[in-house]
Amino acid sequence: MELTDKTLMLAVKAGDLDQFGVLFQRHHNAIFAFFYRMTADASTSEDLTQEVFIRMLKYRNTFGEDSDLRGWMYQIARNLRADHFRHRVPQAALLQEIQADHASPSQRLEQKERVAVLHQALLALPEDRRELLILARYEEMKYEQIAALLSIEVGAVKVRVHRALRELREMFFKMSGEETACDVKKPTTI
Amino acid sequence: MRCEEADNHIAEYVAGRLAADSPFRNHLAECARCRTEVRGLTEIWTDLDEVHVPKVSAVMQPRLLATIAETKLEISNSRRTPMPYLIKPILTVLLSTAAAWFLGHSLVQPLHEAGITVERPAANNPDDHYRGDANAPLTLVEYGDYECPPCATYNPVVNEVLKRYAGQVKLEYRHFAMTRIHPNALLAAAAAEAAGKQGHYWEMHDLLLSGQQRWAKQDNPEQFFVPMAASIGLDSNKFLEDLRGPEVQARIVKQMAETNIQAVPAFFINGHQIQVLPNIESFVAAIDVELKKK
Repeated sequence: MELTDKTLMLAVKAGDLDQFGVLFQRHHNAIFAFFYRMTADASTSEDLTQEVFIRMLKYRNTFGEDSDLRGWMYQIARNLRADHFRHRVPQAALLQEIQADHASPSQRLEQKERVAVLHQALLALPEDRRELLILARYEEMKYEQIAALLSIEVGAVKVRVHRALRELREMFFKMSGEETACDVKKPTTI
Repeated sequence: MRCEEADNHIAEYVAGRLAADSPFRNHLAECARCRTEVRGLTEIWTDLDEVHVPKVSAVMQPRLLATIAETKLEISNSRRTPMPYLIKPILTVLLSTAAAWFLGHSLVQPLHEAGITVERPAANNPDDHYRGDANAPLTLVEYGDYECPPCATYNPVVNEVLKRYAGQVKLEYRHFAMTRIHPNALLAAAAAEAAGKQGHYWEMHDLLLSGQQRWAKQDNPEQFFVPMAASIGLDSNKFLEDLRGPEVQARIVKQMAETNIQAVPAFFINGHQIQVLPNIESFVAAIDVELKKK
């Protein structure tokens, strides 16, 4: 029977460090993807991923019987990213400038290019909205888990995800130069 | 349901998380505005799935492995003794010194007799760097950390021992970087290994230890290591490439993972850990005991 994350982490906390390798194998891809989607910087994301696991070991005694490993791990990841990027030029602002120079308004983008621009649009979102979207879209976290992680109400998570998604769509159209696919003021049928 | 209220459910609907009996579904059937909104956002939501994420290495980096090794050590120490980390070895040396002063005894005390075992103390490992005659009957194994001040103090003594016992004793050196207290120790070990790839391991080993105060605790120790490498005739570009490469890091980590020593420097003769002071007499006493057994 496969041991749960909590069981493994409690074993690590109790001194069985061999179980830590299992946790690393289970979660390092997801943590890396979280950082990469937030930053588009593979090298930094890889370093930060390793640092998350270093901090998990360092702070293992703060993991309790009632703790949720994913929530705890992502809290460490969020703090780490905040520390890392605190004194840097906001990447979103830079990306917006770059994209403004290179957008080609009349060109309809191929799907691959379209997805690349979508990632750029995601990176250009304000950090809190970007993080919320990534957690909701990719990390398979329940709204309740996200709410606990961000210290907000579940209802607020639902509303903010909707707003962030709308902002992303607007940013995407701005960057790609595409016409807005649907204008909410002019109803059409599905 | 009004559209303003429906907005609270759109994200759930787009993500496929909305309950089957949610009143929002009825609203959607009736409201063209919300259908349009849902269609546009669903397209973006679906495309997000295709955002490429590169493959990440499934290998733990040396710093993480070192933390695991140190944590193991910490746990092992806390189970063995209530004394804090490093206090025991310091006290052991102080007490041994005091005892020797009073009793005139040799300071050599094989720890295995006290029930303390240490993994992989055996010598003649092809992975280890050695100094001295390859066929010497006695091998002194040292675990060290280039950023550790006592290791720097011991180094000239060890070199003197090798001169005195030329042909009889050789030294094998293994890394044990205590990264929590010595942030540059891993990089320094990598510098020695990188120099070794150009055939100058021991020159760099001596330079790192004799010049320790210049680079220890510095933010960018590489700026000190590169001139050191150049001063012994190394190709600086290759040196840097090797220093940052996975091969030397893997070698260091392997050595660190194979031992459970408690402090550095740690010395072994023929598989037994010995406690020696940084003076020639202390080493002579330990080595002569072993040579008599040969």
